[in-house]
Amino acid sequence: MPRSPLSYNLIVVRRLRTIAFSLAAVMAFGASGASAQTLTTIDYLMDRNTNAYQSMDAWLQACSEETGITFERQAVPYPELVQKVLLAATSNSLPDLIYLDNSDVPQLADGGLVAPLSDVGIELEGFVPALAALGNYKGVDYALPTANNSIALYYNIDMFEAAGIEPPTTWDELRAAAKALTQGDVYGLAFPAPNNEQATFHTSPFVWSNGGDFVTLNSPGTVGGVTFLADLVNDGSVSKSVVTWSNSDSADQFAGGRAAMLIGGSWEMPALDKSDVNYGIVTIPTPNAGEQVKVPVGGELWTVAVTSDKPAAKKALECLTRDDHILTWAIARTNVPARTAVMDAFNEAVPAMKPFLDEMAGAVSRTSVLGTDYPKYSAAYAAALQAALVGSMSPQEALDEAHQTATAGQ
Amino acid sequence: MKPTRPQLQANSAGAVALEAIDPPGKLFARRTLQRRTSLIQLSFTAPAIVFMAAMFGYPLYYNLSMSFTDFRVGSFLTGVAPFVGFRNYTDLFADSLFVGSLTKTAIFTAFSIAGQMGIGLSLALFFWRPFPASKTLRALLLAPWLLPLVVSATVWRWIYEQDSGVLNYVLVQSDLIADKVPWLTSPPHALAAVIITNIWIGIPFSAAVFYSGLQALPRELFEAAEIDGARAFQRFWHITLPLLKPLTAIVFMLSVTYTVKVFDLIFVLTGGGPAYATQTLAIYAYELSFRHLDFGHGAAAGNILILISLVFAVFYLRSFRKSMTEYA
Repeated sequence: MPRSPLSYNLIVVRRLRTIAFSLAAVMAFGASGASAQTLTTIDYLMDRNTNAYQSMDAWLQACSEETGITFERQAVPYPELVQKVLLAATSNSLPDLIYLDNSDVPQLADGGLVAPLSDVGIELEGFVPALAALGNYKGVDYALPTANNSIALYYNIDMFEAAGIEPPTTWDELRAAAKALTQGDVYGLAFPAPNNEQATFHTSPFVWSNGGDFVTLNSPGTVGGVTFLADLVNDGSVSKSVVTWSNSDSADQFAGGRAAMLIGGSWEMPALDKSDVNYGIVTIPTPNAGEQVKVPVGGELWTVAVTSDKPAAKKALECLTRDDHILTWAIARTNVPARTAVMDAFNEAVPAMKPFLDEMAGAVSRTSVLGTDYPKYSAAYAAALQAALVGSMSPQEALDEAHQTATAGQ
Repeated sequence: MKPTRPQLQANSAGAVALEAIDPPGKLFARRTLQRRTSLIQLSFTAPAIVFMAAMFGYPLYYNLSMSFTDFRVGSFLTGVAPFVGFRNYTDLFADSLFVGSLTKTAIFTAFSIAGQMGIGLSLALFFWRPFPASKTLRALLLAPWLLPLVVSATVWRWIYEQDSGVLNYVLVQSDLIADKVPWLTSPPHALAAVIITNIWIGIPFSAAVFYSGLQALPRELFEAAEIDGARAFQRFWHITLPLLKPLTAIVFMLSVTYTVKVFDLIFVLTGGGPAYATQTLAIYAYELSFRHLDFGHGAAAGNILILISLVFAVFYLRSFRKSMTEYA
């Protein structure tokens, strides 16, 4: 049915009225001081089925309501985040706030893509020192820690009770327990050692707690740590297949009752809670009794792109990293909160995570010494670890070669 | 009456005719004609040229120019990367990992192609004469080709699993081996395992091409040879193989260019490990660019990969042209 001229007029009038109203509303809003700002964010918590994805939405939503800033969130798979950010840099469309993995901070800081926090007007106060150090590159702070993770020793309570063994605290106890619990198709211990960063992350406590590091890859401490792990494989207590396992693969082995112990991150807890396994968590054993174990810290930090609106970014981050929001976020992610003030409240809420809190005293930043060279050293170490675990080279030979590879061309 | 103007035709015959009709204005008319002809030709090819330049030419150029610079993370923001000449390339040849990856690429490609073409040709011969259910079986043969590579590679990773993988289970149960084979966990085995998987993936392609090649062979030749008393193997060696030669060359060249750049399969199966055992040139280039964020060296490694493919592509184009004239 064709519309009459009158009805056209009515529509036009109605539309004009709507436009006028919204203009008035915007002007009133602007007059009240809270201008409608928009910040774009990028993170890699993109699995929509997980708690993490939804918790991030809730976190941003809460701060959006408080500050009046609208967040436009983009979530991509982890391996694509840095690539995406680099591409955005070429077209001058960097996301304002980048929720970055701590090991990627040096690269983006060195490249000048993220701004020093002092430029944003933020001071790092009230954060756990080891976690605050994650965002430091060459003496300058670039990132705000939120909730960070580490790894600990998960053990199968039923298997330990059946064998009448206590959870190990030293390397000797760990080796003995792993051997005793290896029966049939059950291995004593599982940990991921694939050809990437996961291998370095999950085996680093054995290197650092033994006095080794990833700077001199063939130092006695590093060789000793790798030798200990290779011995576990030679004992038959650890499957050689660990060189093909990612962290979720090895967690699956533990959840399926095919490994009595697991070196795993705090992020494995939600999945393990859903499985049938009756598990406990202790700190990772040290070479000798009574030592403080040294563990790597993982997790993401907020960084500010150099191109962003700094005052708006400051306002947003002050809200996002406030005690109450950090506590909620840490509980949702089963990660250690980065704010010292909320530790007790967190401990009460998630008592099972106490070993992770205890380990924080010995937390080490992987990139603090090597900075942008870290990926190279880590890759060389991971390859040497694999060679030692499958027995194609002795730990000393493999790490000598790795050190040569990492330092070549310097 | 209007002066008659000679009709312009967009071909050389027209130009010749024009000269005969209008000798005095010859030079001018020919020029306009040529200009217009070439303009028309250009307008037809322009879309293809623009597309090729934007989609293939520019990325190649960009990668080439990147390989002569020290291109780091910061270069993305500033667009500035210091020029270093051939240093990225000389660095690569001094790196034992690069030389190792070249060797691994050569082994991977040689064995993959020998397996793919050998088994592909045998299967094509097997299906040459139709038998009951041969059509269904032939369709089934295409399965590896139809599956996404990441899916097949993930399934193969489970198959190869040392402790609970189905391959070791079958081998042990059938008493073929006493100890479980460390398929993906021992360096030499891992290289063999990725080659076996790649052969499995490549068989459908060579089998399908050889099969269609066999269909085109003249039956009379074989009948005549059979009457003359040639045995099956003689017929294959003296008739089938020589006739398939041009096709074999094409399958070979295409397979080489496909195989040297295989990435996803190895990446999912072993990630290049254990201990660099399966780190081919493609994996190596990826590691440099996207793990170490060292784009200059990564681009240089990528260009060497392109160069290798290019050499075989030139051979392919040559043999393709030759076989086309042979068929014609």
